[in-house]
Amino acid sequence: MREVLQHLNSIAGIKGSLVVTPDGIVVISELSNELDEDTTAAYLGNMVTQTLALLKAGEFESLDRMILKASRGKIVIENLDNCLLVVVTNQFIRIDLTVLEIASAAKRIRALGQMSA
Amino acid sequence: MLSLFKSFRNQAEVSRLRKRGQLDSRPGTYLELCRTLLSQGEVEKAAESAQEGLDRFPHSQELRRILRHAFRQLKSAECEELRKRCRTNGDREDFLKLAKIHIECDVADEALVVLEELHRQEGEAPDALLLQAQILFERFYRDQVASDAKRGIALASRSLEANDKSFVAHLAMAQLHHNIGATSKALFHVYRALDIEPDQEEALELYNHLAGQALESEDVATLLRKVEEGVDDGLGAQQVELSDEKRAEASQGLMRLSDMHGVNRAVLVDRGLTLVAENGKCKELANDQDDSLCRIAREYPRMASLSSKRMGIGAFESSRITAGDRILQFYSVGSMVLVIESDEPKRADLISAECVSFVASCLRLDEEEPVDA
Repeated sequence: MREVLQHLNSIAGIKGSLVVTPDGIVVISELSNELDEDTTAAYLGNMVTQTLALLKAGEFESLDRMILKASRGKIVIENLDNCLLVVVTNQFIRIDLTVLEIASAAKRIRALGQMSA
Repeated sequence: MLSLFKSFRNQAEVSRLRKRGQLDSRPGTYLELCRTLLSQGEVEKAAESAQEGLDRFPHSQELRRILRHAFRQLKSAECEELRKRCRTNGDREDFLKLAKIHIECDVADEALVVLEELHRQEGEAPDALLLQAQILFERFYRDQVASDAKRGIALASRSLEANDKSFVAHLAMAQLHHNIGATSKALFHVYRALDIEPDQEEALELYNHLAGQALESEDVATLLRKVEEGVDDGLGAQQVELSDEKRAEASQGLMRLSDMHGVNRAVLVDRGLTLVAENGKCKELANDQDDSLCRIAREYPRMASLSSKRMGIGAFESSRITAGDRILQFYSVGSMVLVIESDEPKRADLISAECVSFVASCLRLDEEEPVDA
């Protein structure tokens, strides 16, 4: 799984990626030096749990993908069924192209999960 | 002959778009004008038009992108030359020039890197420290990220330690502290600024404004945190309040968005105002009325905004959530949030483009309106 994240992080513009559980616990993370691991994990975990709670209250099906754009970066969250893949990028990245790479990484992580199950 | 004909046709097209842009209530025509000029190789004119468009539609992200692109093209040769000099035998002036070009090109992060490199090579200098502080203050005014202001204050203080006679540094510190409500600190710096330039209008105006204000009861860190959390929605938030006329216009626009194929509902939240459009009708919702989409529209951007600020990726701008066949799209500027719920994933990009244009048009500045209104 770490290899998949490392491969993802090798794409220009990606600052780091991690896998978290729906209740915000970090399973594995590969973040660049500019992102503080504890802070990033804490806020991402909080964001994931709150978003899922809001969607549930609004009677939405489970989250498949979330793309968040901020003035100095972007976050992409991809559902892995029992966990979530979270990718942090810079603000200049072409998100439509990167999302394809992230979806492919998510597919590989899902396959790894099935193999180990 | 053919090239002459082509040139006339190009000029006529540009002139037509320029006239239409001045009348259009959406930024789309300015975008078309800039793209046309870029395709004709008129990069400088494209930059001018993008700036003109931004003066009217200050929240248009596409116009900002075009301006950045045009500036980069215009300055690329000079930038490359300066970069080479900085790598080999560049002096302080080269570093400062390069940093200023990055600021002009709207890539402040790169300017900060250049200035850090300058400190490493030449040691700290008050003017470079002040420039770094100014970049961070500007970013704080735009994004309201507390850590930017904290870093900016630290850098400006170091600059003042080296040169206490800098009027610009004292005024910048006074303005920042005034904006977050730290009146005593703002007064300290404005006094120092007026000691250096007693008749400077901006400083006098700030002094007169501060003189009647109560002193703060909280420390700077607490005040900054409050601004970041949006407790005091001062700073940029005032710039985006909708007038009655614009509210009516927003209702119309929201109805049009909800009428788009694939859109189920459109919600606009701006402070106490909540507008909901669906099935060709738009209604205002009272704050205590329970509606799950409106609740999401109020709570998700607040949570996303705070998380993105504290993670160091700046202010929240937009988001797209896919949940089965349903898609939620969020757009946030200042206190205003637009949320669209749709069920046609293939049309999500088209709907997104309309939303971006709608938000920019809602917040346009008409000629009679002052820029800071």
